[in-house]
Amino acid sequence: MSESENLEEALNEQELNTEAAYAEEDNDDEDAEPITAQKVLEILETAWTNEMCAPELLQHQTDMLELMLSQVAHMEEQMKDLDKNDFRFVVHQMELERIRYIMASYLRCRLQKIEAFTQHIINQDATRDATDKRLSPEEAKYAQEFASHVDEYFNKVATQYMPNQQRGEAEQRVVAPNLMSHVFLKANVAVSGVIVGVDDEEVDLAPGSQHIIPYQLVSDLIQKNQAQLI
Amino acid sequence: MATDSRELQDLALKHKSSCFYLSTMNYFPNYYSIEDIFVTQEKVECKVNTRLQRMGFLDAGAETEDLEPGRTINLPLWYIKELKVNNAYFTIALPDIYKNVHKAVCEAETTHIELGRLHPFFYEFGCYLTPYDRNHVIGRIIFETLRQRVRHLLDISKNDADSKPDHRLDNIEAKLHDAGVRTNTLYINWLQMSGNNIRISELVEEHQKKRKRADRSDDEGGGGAGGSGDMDMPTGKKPSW
Amino acid sequence: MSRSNKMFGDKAFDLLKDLKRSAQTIPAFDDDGVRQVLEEVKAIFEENVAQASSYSSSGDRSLWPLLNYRHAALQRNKRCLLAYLYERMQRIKAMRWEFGPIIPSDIKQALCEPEVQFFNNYSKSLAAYMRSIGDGKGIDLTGNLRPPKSLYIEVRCLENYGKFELDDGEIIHLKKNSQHYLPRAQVEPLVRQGVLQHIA
Repeated sequence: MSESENLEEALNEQELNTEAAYAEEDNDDEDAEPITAQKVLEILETAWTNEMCAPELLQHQTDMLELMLSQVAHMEEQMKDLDKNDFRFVVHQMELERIRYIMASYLRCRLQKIEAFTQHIINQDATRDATDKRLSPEEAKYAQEFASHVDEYFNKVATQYMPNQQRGEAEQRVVAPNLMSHVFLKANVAVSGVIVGVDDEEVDLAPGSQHIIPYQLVSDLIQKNQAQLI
Repeated sequence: MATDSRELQDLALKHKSSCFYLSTMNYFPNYYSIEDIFVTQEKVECKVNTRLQRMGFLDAGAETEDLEPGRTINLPLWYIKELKVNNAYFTIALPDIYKNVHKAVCEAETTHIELGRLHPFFYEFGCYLTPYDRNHVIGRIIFETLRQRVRHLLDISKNDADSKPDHRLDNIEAKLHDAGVRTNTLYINWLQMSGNNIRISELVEEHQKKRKRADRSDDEGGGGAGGSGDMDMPTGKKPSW
Repeated sequence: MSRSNKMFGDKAFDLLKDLKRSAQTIPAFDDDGVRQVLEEVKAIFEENVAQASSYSSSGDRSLWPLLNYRHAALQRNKRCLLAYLYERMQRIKAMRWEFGPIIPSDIKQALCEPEVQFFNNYSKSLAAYMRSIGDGKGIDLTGNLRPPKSLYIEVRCLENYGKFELDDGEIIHLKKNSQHYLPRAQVEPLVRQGVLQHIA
């Protein structure tokens, strides 16, 4: 991707040093060095492709998104002073649009999953610790609203006229993703002893190697960033 | 396991990122799945084993109040699958279509079979029937049939997008075929760096066509000029969202 | 139950069949069909309740298969009806993404009142969510649909739209068949709405 090289320059011109840039700080004090905008973009790009390829909803990236959006706003501010025909203006504007596309596409993809698997996702998140939630606070609000809009619609047209539901019926209606669907995987680091297939066969993944495998068997590797989906 | 087929990967990502609505590619029936409801609407031939009181209405050819033992009737799959496999009321007769392709499967000659003509939901229907199949052949037959045909499916999706071999494919195959054609088109567009134009929204396009048709049939219908009147978009401003 | 409607669930299935056969936008809400299905559900339920109580008092198991069958039929009816609503909901959702927050009036006629309400609720929630992204900075997710290849695009105007103001204050007159070279990001919604056509 040659486009992103231009961006690297544009982004590396300044490091983010807003307080938000220390978002990692809470988790681990040793990682308290400021994160570059370039790094933020890389994280988002990976999150984007992973989200596109994974059958289930992955962990939200609110911190990274907020950093990126402030950065975009900051760049837009600076570009106001540039002549529109300036070459730098064109390059930067182009990169901004690409970033905006990636973020929109990423969030759209998540929204589609949220709408498709609403109840399943809400139920699962209810069992998770605050730090492990898959939904961002905004998405969680949206999911709740969406679920109640659907309920209201179903109820007004049909369910209020139907005999009471039996036990188990509500669960029957929950739509869940197929976690055993196959995905393309690339190992970021060496991973040994990955169980592939039902017969407990194990395989070692070499860094950079690529595989086709049921998602569920490698979902933890994605979570730990030891591998990514492609 | 490991694959270095770059081409396949590029296609996979290209395909995914171009699906605006979450792809239905991954067939995985849920409660609301219309496909699955269609499959379970299919009838299964059953023999009645015991007198069933007041169920005579299920037997189109009988006038009796009760359903008599020994009769053969067709019952929808949605009912059958709620019963225990070895229930005392009915014995399920497996359709011949699966036996009929058995020979072709053994000879690895399944690509020419007009599967869609045999049964529109050959595979899914077969899956539902496997519990009733004491000889355990249907499972193997549908697995082998698809395994043999999938390669051929890939070939025909690449070659001609227009001539869809209608009744040769069953429902799932037809969807795979569509997906193949779509992916192939995207791939070619990508190679030629075309097809990246912003398109009119599909629903808007369909709506406009419909309105034009309506305008032609009765002229007093619309307000005439503008055409954006229905959208209530404030002119001169960007649409608010 | 009389012999005339011997196959329970067929009406509910027809709802789905008709919907699936229809074009991409939405056919008129089948008030009558839905009502008939609900009536069938109610009738089956009441018959079963009546017979189940005599069954439990007498211990006579001979009607058990019939109860069983009717129960399955009731569930089947429910499933078809809810799948019908679910599929319509998918199409109504798609309209929010493709038409924007206002449904063209002729399409609106095909919706029943709770559906219009659903559309409005959905539209509101979606807009609120998009505004809330990134600590209130907001992103329009209904735009930015394709990876940008250029900042400006060549467009042809398909109708007399009138004035259109760009972000920098410049005002463009969009007249039918006129061609313009405009910022992609700013005119994307107009292309989606069919006012402009993206050429070359």
